[in-house]
Amino acid sequence: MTDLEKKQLMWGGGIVLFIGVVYLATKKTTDDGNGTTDPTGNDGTGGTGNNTIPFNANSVADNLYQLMDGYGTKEDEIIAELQHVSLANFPKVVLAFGKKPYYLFGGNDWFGTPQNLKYWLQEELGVTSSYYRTLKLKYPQYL
Amino acid sequence: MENNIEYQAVNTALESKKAVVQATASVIPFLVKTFVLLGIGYFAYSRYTNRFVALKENSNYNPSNITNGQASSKADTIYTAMLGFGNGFEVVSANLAGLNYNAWIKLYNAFGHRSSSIPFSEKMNIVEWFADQFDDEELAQLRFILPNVF
Repeated sequence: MTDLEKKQLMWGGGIVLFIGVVYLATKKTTDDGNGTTDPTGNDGTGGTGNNTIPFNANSVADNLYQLMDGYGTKEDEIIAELQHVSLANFPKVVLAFGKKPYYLFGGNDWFGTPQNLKYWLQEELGVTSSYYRTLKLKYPQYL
Repeated sequence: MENNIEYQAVNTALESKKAVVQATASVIPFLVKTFVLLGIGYFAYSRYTNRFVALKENSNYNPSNITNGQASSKADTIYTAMLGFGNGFEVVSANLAGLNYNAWIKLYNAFGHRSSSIPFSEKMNIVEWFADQFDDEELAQLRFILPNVF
């Protein structure tokens, strides 16, 4: 090997090494975990945010009614009950809730007039309350 | 004769004292240098360990539903709302509504590390800012709007 060849080999190797280091330092990597469903449920595909949780609209509607019926409303529990209900699933809850007689502060079969879930939430949480505004941010088309 | 011996003794004592002082003085620059170096080292270490590490987007999920520009202006809006008096809950919740996972990552990275209004306190990322500003009920509402990410 002549001196010139040695020099060329050294420079060539150095340049290849440099390019490799720059590539490794700047290459874009992604954070690919398991699962293909967007965990926020806000991707418009109707994902629940966690697709392993089975969804039961009747159960949610029933729990909501229990939380709102009678004196005193449990705002935090209502938020928690709807935590895993995506925008796509909310109309099912509205349907399952149907219309329940509302009178003054809660359900009343004798004096109440049948009202839907939106009316119940408005009455119990208050339209201007931060809880109702939060619900409306998540389900803008239905509240 | 006796006086001479006493004089010599005092002289020796004074000289040894002088030597001790000189030795002490010669150590001082070494100590100063050591502490300055240690200080610089600690500063660099803390700057490195508290640096902002950007999160990566996940290509398994749908692409972000906001652009980089939107993420940047949302981050500024959220920061301005939280800074100073009050926590700007309405502004923050309105700006988080409807973000998907990759959009949240964009927002997190656009927010980066931002300092609070308290001087000399550590810079915080958006999640630390939320924990600093909002109470449990407000955090629950924010997690309701944008679940499973913070």
